[in-house]
Amino acid sequence: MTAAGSRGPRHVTAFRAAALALVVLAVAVTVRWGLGSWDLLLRIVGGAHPWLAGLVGIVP
Amino acid sequence: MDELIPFLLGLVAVVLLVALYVFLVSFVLTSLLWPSLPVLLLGGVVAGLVLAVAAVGATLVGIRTPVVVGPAHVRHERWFRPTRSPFPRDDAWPHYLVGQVRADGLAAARGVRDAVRGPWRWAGRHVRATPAVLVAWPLLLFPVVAGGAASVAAGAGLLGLLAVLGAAWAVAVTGWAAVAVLLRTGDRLLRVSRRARASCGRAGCNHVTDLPAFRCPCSRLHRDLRPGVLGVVFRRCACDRLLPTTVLRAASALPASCPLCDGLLPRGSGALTDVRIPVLGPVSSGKSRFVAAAMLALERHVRAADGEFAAADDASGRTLAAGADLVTAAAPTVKTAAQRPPAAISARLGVPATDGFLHVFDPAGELLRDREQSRGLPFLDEAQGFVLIVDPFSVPAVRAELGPAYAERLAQACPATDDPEASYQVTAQWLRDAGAPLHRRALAVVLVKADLLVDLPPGRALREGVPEVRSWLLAHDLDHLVTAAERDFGEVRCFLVSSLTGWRHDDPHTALTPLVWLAGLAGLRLPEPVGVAP
Repeated sequence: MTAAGSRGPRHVTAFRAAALALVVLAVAVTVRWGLGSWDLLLRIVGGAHPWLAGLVGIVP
Repeated sequence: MDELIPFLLGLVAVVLLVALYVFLVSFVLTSLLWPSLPVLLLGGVVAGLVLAVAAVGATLVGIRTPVVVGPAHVRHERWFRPTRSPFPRDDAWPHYLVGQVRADGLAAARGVRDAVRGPWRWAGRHVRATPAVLVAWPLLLFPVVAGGAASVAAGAGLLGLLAVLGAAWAVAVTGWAAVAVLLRTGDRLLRVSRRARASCGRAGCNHVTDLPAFRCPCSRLHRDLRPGVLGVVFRRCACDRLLPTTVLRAASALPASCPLCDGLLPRGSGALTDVRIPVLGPVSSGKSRFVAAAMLALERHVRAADGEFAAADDASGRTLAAGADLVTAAAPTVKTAAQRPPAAISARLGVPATDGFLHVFDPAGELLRDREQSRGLPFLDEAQGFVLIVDPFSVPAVRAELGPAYAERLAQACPATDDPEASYQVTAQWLRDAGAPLHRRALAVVLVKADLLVDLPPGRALREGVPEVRSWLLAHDLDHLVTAAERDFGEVRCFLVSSLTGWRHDDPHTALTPLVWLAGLAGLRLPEPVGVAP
């Protein structure tokens, strides 16, 4: 393996991070569509962890 | 009777057991499975979707390691279409969007497949090992229903995610390709407008290309640094160094090499105007002396115009220095070696308006005697212009006019042995056979030894500038040569040059005039020499 490492050069990591962000967004949109509102989803996310609750600005 | 009772009791027991089994089956199906079916299905679907997201996420995070599509893969047809170039693809990392993305997609799909297939295989193995477990088939229906729902949901989830990522990939790859095409086109247009090419000066190679190879500091050779599957704005060499794409950027950052012989090319090759001028003529006609005088005069001329003149490589530097010593000392010229094709004498010229390379070739006259020998001079069909040296003292009409009275002066002139017209015809025919577009090329017919000629009766008129050189050639039985040259070439101009005094750029018979004219036609516009005889 070359100096680029076993996972390839850095740009591979950047593209994978972008794809992962897209996957998270797709899941969030799907769940929101299933739940019917962002509010409920945010409450569930906020309930999962206080740090996330603070992040989204909702007290569960 | 004694035997009947146990039989009947046994029968009753079996009936009871069957009834109990049927009851239990009915109970499990109707009271347990059926009511819990929605939960099982929902749970299965959720589990399947989570599985799909987890498999894709694990691939992207790097928990599942897919095949790393690297420099070793760019030459495999399974991963990349082969190039149209005669050389294999360069040793560099392919761009994510055209290489690794496929491996990641496949790894994610295989992740889901393995996660779904694993439990089913495990269950199948156990059922085959212990078939009796099938007696409890209603209970097995619970995992079968949940697992089936999970499997279908995992497949659907994977397809959904791949569709989303595929759409994003399509948008990204379209933008990526658009940028690549834009950069590639811009690079090409700029190079075409500059008439930039790269010429290998190595004797016997003399390869001319639009696309020089560039050497990474790790010594790997990159033969095609244009934007493409190995990178749009930059590419990463297999050694992990970031290299610029496009010939223009690479030419200023990396050492260029000949793609054919791997020989080192001067810095800037491929990005600067490149002019190649072979000097043709019979043996002893004065080609080498003309080249030495012309290059020295050119150097002085460029420097006088506040420009820069430098030998493009060490070999050219040595040749130029030796030529300068020769003409300034008026020493006798050493016969050019006829055993092998000549190396280019290359110089980089920079004046405020232009910057480029001038390559002058000085092949031995013997190589131009017949078509077989001319075939070994690959630079002839890539030249933009030619210089044809005409030794006036090898022209029969001039020799006849001089007569025995000037025999001593004639011997002093060391005239060429071959007829200039025959030499021209051989070369022109070879160029035509090789498909060189002569009608788009220029020819400078250079009448040399002006210093001797103008003092003798046949050339006295030339001293006063009347008639012009072309008319003088016609008047001295070289009309066939002039007519053939004007028929074959797009532009023909005749010059009177003295290689003895013409190494001075301000000499009336300076040797630089034909080079300045030919270089200007090929895109390397240099200031016109002043004070030159008409």
